[in-house]
Amino acid sequence: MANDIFNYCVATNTGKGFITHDDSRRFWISGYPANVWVCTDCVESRHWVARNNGTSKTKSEAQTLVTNNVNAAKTAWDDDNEEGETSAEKIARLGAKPVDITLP
Amino acid sequence: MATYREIKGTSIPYLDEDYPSSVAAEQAGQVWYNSTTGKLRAFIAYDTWATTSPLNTARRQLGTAGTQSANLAIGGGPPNIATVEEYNGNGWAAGTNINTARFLLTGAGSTTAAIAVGGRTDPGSDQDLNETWNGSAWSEAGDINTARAQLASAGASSTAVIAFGGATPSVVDVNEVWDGSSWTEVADLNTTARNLAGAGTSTAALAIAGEDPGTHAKVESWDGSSWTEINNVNTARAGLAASGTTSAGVAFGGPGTSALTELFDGTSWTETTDLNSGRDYLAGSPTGTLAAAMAVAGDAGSPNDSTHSEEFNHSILTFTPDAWASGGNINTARNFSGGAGDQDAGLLFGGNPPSGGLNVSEEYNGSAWTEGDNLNQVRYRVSGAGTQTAGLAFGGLTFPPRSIKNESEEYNGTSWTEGNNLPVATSDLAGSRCGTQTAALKVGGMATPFPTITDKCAEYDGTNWAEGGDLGTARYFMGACGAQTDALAIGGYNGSAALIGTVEEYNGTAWTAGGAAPTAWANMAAAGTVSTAAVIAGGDIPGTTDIAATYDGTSWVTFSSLNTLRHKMPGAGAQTKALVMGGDGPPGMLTATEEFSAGSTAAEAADVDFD
Repeated sequence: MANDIFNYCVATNTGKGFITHDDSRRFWISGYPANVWVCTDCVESRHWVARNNGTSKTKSEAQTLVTNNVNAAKTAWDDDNEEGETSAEKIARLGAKPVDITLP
Repeated sequence: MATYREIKGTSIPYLDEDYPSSVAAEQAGQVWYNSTTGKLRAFIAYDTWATTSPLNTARRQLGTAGTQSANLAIGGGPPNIATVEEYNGNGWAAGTNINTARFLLTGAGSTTAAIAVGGRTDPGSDQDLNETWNGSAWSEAGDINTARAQLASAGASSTAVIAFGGATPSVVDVNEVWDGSSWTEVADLNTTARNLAGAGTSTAALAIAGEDPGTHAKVESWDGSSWTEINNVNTARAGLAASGTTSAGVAFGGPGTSALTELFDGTSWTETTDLNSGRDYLAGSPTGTLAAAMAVAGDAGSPNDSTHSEEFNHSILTFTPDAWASGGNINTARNFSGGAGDQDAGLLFGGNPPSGGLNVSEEYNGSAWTEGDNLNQVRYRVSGAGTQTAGLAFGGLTFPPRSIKNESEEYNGTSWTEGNNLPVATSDLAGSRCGTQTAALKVGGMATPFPTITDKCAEYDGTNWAEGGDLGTARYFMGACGAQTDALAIGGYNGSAALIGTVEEYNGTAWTAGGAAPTAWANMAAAGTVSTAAVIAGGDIPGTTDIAATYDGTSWVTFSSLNTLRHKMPGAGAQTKALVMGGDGPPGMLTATEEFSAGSTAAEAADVDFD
């Protein structure tokens, strides 16, 4: 399946105005770890990337960023232990271990 | 000279203000004089394309059947595929494949009685295949007489269809009619054409544009016995799609990933709002209307097959969908916080990390968060109520060792002070916000002794906590929102391994069953009330989700998702002022917030432009 109806970028969420209601109504957008954003590829979403000083990425580049970020989180999760803590307690404290994310 | 009244059958009302939106439907087409603005005014139809859920399989050169709210996407390619998907007005789901994979075919009928005709299985292998769909299976039926691809069709059912034009591979003017059992050649088109568009029925159809080999703009109208040339579309094109009838239609898309859209009023074509995503070799809604059409898949820039779907509306009503936008970022990333207030004046307190709990609270002014006074009690999985200047925090947890909290604290916009304790220490309430500082509600949760999943609720009157009505289902990590006498408890965990999707409504005395959530759901943000509408967003279903849903007091509708996957965060505000704060979106804690904007449907009068 072709994937090119999406555009991929890295952009820092600067808060208010980063994604406006108009943006959200004009195109689909979804955020992922490592400040990776995936948008419907249209004129409006390209303008959104430019407006937010985003850096366009290929899908492969974006996936690598996300995967590296998730892997780092997995390692951190594995290394974060408290003495006498059960597995269930660890999950209750930290949440479930991060899982792999595949970009659309 | 004829008067306006003689021509139009009505005089022009003289008003000092516009007709209100509430009477737009009955005043459609009426022109009036607004003496305040000095302008002739009318409710004028707007044309909009809105992106909807994408197909699961990218494709072009497909066939479609049905309408904007019930559509079938059939085959396509290249390479040729047999995949069929069904659209229900919200999303596409896998359907039953056609028997022979092919592209450059045409479709007609509905999602329960469709037909897939002609097409190409491989380059140079044009087909006379005809398959009919009865809502559960595709069956081979009588073949068309002239095997061809790149043809068009018109027909509202699977038993009354015309198929015209196409390529064998030579471009043809052939026209055949299907009566449910066999195809019969009838009067040919006046102009040979392939990759043309069709609209209408087997007795009243339009053949729109096409190519042989160059693109043309010709349009022909079919009356059941012959084709008549009528006014051309404004832009010559092929690989386009259409919807509507011989008196009101819409044609869109075409070569060079065209986004051009033209309206037909029964006489002439007028350019209107472009597709959001220009495409050629796309498909439409063969039995759709001018008022409600659909553009499905297509080639968004060769060889970029598209999953893109868009809905077209031609209406005096302007529909503005629900949407989420970024709010100001909180200063301390965290999950399992408590929240209060709304998107103009929010309050966030407690949370995790550090493990064990956090006492930091922050205030929001509609654009930025600033540090406020800290909670007296470090805690997470805490619940909140009230506003930024009259807030309430209660319950929660510190860990390790596990210590479930019964303390409540009141915020006056400056500092937190101790209030009276909950009757029973309770945690795992994050996501809950019910009531005000003087009329709050604690809903279920994880109570002492651990692990007691409780159905107990408690009501706060500004001084003391008293027992409220018991939930029908004990639960924790649910969404809860509303007022002390108008609250919702949504989903959560009930102690079994799986999440639950049951919903309960509270009237201040007792909990009763509400409309079931769209799916089993937990750890979401919730905002609003039963009586004025509610919204939930994010959470676990069971994987972390960005899905959001609104509740109208009876049923839930999923709508545009959060911009960031997240769970374990509070929501706050009325539905129209809902605010989602922090949480964690695997794999990390978030500072991002999101603000909800409810959609609307309204008509606005506009100046009449005679140019």
